[in-house]
Amino acid sequence: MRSTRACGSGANSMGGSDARGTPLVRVENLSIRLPVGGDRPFAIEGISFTVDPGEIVCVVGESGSGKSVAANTLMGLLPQGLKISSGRVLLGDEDLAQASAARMRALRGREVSMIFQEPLSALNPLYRVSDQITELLGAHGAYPGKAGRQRILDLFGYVGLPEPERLIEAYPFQLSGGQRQRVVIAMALALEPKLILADEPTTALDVTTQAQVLDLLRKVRKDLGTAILFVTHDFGVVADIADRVLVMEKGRLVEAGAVEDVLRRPQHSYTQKLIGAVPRLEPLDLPPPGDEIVLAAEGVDKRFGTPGGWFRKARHVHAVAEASFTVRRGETLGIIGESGSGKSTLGRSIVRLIEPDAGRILFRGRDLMTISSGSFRSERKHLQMVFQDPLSSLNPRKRVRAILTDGPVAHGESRAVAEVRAAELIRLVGLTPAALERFPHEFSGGQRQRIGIARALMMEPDVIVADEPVSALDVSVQAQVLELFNELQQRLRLAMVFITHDLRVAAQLCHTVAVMQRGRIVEYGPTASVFADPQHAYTRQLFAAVPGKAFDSWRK
Amino acid sequence: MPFVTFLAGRIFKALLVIVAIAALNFLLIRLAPGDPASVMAGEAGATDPKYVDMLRARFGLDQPLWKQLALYLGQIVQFDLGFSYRNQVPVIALIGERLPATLLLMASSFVVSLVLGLGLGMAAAGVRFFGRARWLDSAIMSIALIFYATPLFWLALMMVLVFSVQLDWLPAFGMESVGANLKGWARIVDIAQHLVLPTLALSLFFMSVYVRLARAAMMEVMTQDHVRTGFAKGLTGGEVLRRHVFRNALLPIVTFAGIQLGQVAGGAVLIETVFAWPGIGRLMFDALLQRDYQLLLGVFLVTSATVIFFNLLTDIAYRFVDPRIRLEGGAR
Repeated sequence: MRSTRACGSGANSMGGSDARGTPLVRVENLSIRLPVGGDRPFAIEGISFTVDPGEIVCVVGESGSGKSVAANTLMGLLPQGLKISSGRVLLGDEDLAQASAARMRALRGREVSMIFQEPLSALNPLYRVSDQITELLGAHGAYPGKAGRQRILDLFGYVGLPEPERLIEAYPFQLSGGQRQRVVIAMALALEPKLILADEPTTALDVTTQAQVLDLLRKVRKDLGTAILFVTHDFGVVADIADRVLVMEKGRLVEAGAVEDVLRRPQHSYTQKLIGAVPRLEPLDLPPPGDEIVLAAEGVDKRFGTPGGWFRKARHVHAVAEASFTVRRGETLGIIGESGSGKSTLGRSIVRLIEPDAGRILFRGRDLMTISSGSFRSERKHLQMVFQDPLSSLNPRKRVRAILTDGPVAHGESRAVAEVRAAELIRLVGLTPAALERFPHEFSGGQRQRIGIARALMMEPDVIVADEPVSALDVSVQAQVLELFNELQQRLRLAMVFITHDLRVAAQLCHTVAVMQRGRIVEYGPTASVFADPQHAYTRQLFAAVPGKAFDSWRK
Repeated sequence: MPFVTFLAGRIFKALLVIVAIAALNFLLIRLAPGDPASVMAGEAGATDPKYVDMLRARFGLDQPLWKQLALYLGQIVQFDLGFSYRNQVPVIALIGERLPATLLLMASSFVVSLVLGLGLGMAAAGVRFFGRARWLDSAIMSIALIFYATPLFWLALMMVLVFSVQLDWLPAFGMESVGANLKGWARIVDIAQHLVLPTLALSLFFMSVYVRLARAAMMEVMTQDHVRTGFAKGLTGGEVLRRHVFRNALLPIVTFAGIQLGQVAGGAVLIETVFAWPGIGRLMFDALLQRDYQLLLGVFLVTSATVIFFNLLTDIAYRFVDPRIRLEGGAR
């Protein structure tokens, strides 16, 4: 199953002293035991793979597949309680499984370095970013004194940070997400390691920033000949950056090969399932919506800010600026935008979880903004919300039965009627009635989101506002939940507002889309025409940044 | 926000708060039944209402309340805390005489509890961090729990019983040996010996709070990604613990240190009584029993000013510990 295809480009330009064709990393029959009482005996079971100098190898899998453990092993940074039980981890000719703690320290940061998922938490918030790189240089006795500062300036310039002279003084919280990840990459490159381990390095980033960071990693590989072991769950990213792919399922390596071979002709059934679950970028043919306009927003406006004080200036952010749209019965409107675009604020304004400053929200022709809070309470049951994080949005101390029935009972329904509907709905969302007696933590992420949807449906709403409901889910689960949304809408003829950052998800579900940028809806129209011919420059930029376009053409 | 603007704003607000506290104290104290004139007359055995009225007139107690308040606030602005008729001395002199003893006790117990608490808390978190000698963690946490749960006055009495009465190692009460009339170095040693027991009694509770706080904060920081980054740079475990765990765990500790400093000034009453420590806590207690309004108000004002002062110090300390607070709203 192991491929020995060597990757050419730029392998010998800098840093890579190994001869072409000799693997930089050889993992042989590696097993890592989990502590007793886990859901399986091994975190990683008998995996073997190689990484050549200058090669980008992607490790793909769903959460819990052991893909991050595999990467951490090469750093000797296993979580407490995990130990290599058999096998070899060779870096060059050295077996890292046998290396001393001091030897591992000498290797970390110099020969092997790491890029983490969350660039904010990967940097210590209390130190200047330059001091954190200086610390790395100091730990290896490299670039002493003034040379260190110059090295950092060079690195900052190389990774494309604007104004290195100024940013060298900055603290992490003063940088944007993309800039932070560039700092983390600069740190990883500081001593020109032979291997970089990148653990979901773009998952926390916006799609346009992600595209830039992927470009940067490709440039690093080309210029420095650095091999990159890239852990990800996103096949679009894999298609864009990988030379080779390793697919992991529950600690085992189920498939490995050149990226195009694996993505075009997946052999293993698990790989086929994963790839089949990735939503396509072309809009799906959805049944047409009805004529009745259920929900309309007119000029909704919201500013956030800190009021001024005696010694402070007031500060304002225009979170939503004059947003207007309509949603018909049976129609799904997708609100698309990057972080900070105001899409969640707009979503919450519709159900008045946030009070907008201006504008009208018409629900079946009635302005929700002007009615009293007492009569809004009775309207609220018609407007329900599904949240992103299904764990934190369900009360952990209540059984599913109570989670589902409390809402209707609070609105004056008899408990018996509510219980009957709870039993119906739990089946409708694809769970068994036994689920009613259990607590939220006993379910997987996908099941929890089904409960969250059932909870919203318990109120028999006309409108559902779903805020990134599938973003926290694995791709195969995401596909199932998206299907559930489609099915429910056809059956119940709901009007839905679906907030997402993911154009692929929007394509599967939405009749119309509204693209938001800095609080404004910059483009609004039927999904098919926006996807076929985006008008606004920002929309085009978003489409250009979607990873895995080659992947889409391979799947046709 | 630049430091000077921040400081000016905070000091301005602090002064307003102090004036408000002074007014509130003044009004609250009038709600208690009985006034100094009736107490003094009662103690002198005089029941003649004319004598009481004369006393009232002398203390200005016959004036309308708002006039008394205005007069009082006017005095305070000029740093005049009034006159204690019971002791026949200006209030400020009485407080000035007692304050150093309390500050000494406060400072020593603050340092002892902070140093012991942080040291033990770091040790407990450290052995968890390195995954060895976990028994040390359990031992430290048990000790902390015991001192956390033991009542202060009982602990103080037991220490007197063991170290003074039984072993005769340390003096049981007072701040200096009576009638010894020591000078220079010998006097310092004498005071230090007297300081040991009250300091310990006051410190052990706060120490156990610091142990728990430091350990919990460090354990939480340990799970954060930047700790992993530290290891990924090739730092040793000790370096990671010191630079990336301890430093980040300081913020909740600073918060509590501020609370402790503010509290000790008023909270030392118990310890000062048990150990006969001539501090401001006992002065307040005596003033309360004697209805010495001016003195009581003076003590209240000084203790509230201490609380506000230490709150301000805490906020300044935050700015040094955490750049996010220092640079909030600053140049981006």
